[in-house]
Amino acid sequence: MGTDGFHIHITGGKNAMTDFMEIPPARHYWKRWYLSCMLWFFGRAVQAAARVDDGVRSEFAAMPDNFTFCLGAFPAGPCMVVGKDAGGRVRHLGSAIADRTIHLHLMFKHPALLFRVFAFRESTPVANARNRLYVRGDVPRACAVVRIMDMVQVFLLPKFLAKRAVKRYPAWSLKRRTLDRAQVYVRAFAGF
Amino acid sequence: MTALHHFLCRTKTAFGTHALAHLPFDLSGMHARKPFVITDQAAKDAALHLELARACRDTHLPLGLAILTDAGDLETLYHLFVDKGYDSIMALGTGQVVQTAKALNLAICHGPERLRTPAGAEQLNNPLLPLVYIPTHPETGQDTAGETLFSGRRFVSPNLMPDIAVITADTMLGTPGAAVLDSGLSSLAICCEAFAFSHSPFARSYASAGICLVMDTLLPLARQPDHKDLLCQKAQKNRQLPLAKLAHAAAISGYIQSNYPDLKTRQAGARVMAVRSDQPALLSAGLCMVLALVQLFENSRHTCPWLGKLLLPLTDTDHYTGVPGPEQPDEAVRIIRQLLHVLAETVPRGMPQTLEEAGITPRQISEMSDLLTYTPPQGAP
Amino acid sequence: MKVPDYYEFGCRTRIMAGHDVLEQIPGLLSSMAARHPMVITDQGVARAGLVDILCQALDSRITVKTIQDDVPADSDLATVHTLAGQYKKYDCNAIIALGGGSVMDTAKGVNILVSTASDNLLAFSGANALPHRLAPLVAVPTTAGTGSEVTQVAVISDPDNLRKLLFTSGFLMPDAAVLDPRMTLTLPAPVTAATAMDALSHAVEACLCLGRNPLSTAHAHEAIALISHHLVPVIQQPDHTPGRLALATGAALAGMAFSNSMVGMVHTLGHAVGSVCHAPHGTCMAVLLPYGMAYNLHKTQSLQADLLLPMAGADVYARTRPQDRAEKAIDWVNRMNRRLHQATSGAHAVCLRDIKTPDGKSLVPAHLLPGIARTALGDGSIFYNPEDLDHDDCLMVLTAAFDGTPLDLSRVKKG
Repeated sequence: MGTDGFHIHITGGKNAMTDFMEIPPARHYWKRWYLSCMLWFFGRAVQAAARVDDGVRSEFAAMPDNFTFCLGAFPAGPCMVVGKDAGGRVRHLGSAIADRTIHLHLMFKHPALLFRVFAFRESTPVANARNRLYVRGDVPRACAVVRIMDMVQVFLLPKFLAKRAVKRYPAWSLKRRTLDRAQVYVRAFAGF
Repeated sequence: MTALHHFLCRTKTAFGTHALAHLPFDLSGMHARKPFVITDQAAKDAALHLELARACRDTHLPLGLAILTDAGDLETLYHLFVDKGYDSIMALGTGQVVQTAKALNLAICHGPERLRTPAGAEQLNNPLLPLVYIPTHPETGQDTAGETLFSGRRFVSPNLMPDIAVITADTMLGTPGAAVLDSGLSSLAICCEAFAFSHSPFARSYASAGICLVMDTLLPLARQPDHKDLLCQKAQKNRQLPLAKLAHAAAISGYIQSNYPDLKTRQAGARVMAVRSDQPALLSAGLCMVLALVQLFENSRHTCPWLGKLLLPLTDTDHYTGVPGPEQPDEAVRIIRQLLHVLAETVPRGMPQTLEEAGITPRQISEMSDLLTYTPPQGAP
Repeated sequence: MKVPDYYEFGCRTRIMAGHDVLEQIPGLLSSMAARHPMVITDQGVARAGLVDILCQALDSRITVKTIQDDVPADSDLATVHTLAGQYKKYDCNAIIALGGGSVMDTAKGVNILVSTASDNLLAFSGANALPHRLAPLVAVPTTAGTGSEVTQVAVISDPDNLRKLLFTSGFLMPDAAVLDPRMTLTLPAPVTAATAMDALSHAVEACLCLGRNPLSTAHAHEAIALISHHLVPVIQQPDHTPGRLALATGAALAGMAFSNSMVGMVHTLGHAVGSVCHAPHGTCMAVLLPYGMAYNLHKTQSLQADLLLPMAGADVYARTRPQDRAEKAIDWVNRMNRRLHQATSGAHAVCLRDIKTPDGKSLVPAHLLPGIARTALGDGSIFYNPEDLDHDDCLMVLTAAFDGTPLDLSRVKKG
């Protein structure tokens, strides 16, 4: 018998007073797909912003070459990986974290909790305050990555959404809010 | 400050929305990879087991789910657990479910023979398997306390406290008015006594939060009881969060009970119930405890220095600071009496508001005088 | 009662508080079948005679296998590995940590290594990386204090790589925190003041930061009331044991509070000042606390108003107009700092400029403030602060705190 997309196997108990069933872990396909798409685009936007914006660039400049970080969900993703190559260039490295050295993990404790942030139901600072995520790795670099993510969110989102996503909406110049924003979008879609 | 006090609360409380989604991560922190879930028919009928399964999606966490009927069969659960290699226990349901879960935990870790004789903390010293408790109703605190009752035998140990209590509006089921009152009044009595008489800042901190939660939610919930047809369904949307808060207060009262097993209100309440066992419908355990509490406070208003400060969690800062210090104990008692009075209006058949109205004679009250009088502990100011 | 959308609260440590409570340690360790502890402490504690008091309180049920008193002011990897080796050499089966925050963190680090039979502490850094329960650990704080006796965190520096490693796990919590006033009776007045203000800053920030919750707030308010009531009397009468116990209890309560709700910019900036200038942690907290409260005032006005009650008492609270209570709370902290400055004959600093070495050299020169502001941006507590902080904001606050001038609230950028 299956209900609600689960495979549920019901066995009769040894004793009529107890019913027992085993529920294997299932997947939430459409949420994973949505998160994978959002993370993919976000990763490319981080790469784009590093090319375009001085603020993002200076945060990355303080990180060593070959440094990589990932943003994702415990225990098995989806994830987004961004890193600096040997030449110091920031690249979106896809979603795979196996067979790769990740220096910093920013992980939400469950895909559903990551979904709340990417569906704009909970901002990152609030999610952090509510213990929805954890960090493995160097804390100062984690702080830098969070600041980068905040700037990228301000680039990508309309003001009314970005104000809910970050703690304080920044006062940027007109150029940064318009031309640079357009460049980030174009580069994120095109991937360069 | 008293000469010596201890406080131990082994349970992490997780409260709020999407609380279940944190479980896989928390279980991994306890190295629990295959949890065994015990639940009851009401939770299953309300599809709460599917809520739990949804929380385990995308996390590689398989669940074994056993649904208890009224009688419950610990031996069956034990064999299922051992044969299928589970490594942790989740109790999703009422107090009976978590008591069964605790007994199962004892049987797994100490052997089934352990359950043949009552045991205390010295015999139950070793850590048990991870236990997660997810209430579906506000209870009376024994669910989170470090004790369990199995076949009339009592087992007491802080290790029996759940590792995590996950209290969320998402799992609250329709709860009848009588159960709401019983839970709220029980929590209030335990927390008030601990606040006023424990002389422990640690107990007072927990108690203070528990009292605030009860005062916030009990009256609105009592005024709008769930219809009996809703009892095996999720509570109405506007009641889910208040019920969760009341369940949170009950959990706190359990933590306090673990540290203060000889609470006077609990003993006095039991004595009142025994005397008036002819009126089980009229006198719940929680009500008896609060009636005893009021008497205890009346007898102690000049001897207990913390009774006046109880007014703060019972009301708010403005009310508390607006009452002169010497009048605060009387005002605290008045607030509790006022609450009883207003709650009585929500009970169709009425509700006694004093021990006398509950049919306890002056002689019987006098026989309980040791439980209705505050004795300062050695070294207390 | 305002309840956040989601929160967690837990403290699995058994609290044992009172006079002569050290004598309960043998029974506690015996119940855990751990009769051969190693005592980890530092030389300051040993010189104060506190190790002797502890050993006298341990009866024949317990055999102290070794006493290691080489813990430095900042816990580091090398010390942890050395002590783990000593633990194994002396065949210990428990740890008693007797000291302040550094001793506690070192003891937690040692416990990781000896309980996992590993020689690579780095493998366990981060969150939830420990595989199982650790060996019994009893924490006996000798300051009041950092609250480390009740937290699930250890911070250990890796000086070779110029970084601090953070370890977070429920398994790191000590099995027991033993609060005995004998352990702080001889604490000098300036240290008493600084550590108590550290505890006060924990409690205040626990009430104001984004992770605040009803249980943390309840614990924090109890802590604030205890510290407010007892700090100055204890400075004036250092051998008043009920007062010492009250401060130790307040510090533990504050530790339980902030461990669950986190801290904010007072710690963000204070950690940075401590890290760059090696200024004492508690002193930095004391100086920066009123500035952190002022900076966050527009976001936490009603919460700060509530703090006035445990700080100043019911009479002051009732006499103060509701719209003035938050500022009155900030003023109370400033006045407490000034009272402590007087009571310690000037040793307790009221501004960053006044933080000095024993021989009078200033520890926080003005030219280092921009560097401190940059360092502050790398402290994780910044994200729990109610209002955002960038480099300019940090520098503005540090500049005001340097001279002890009030913060210009019109310059605070509001999010």
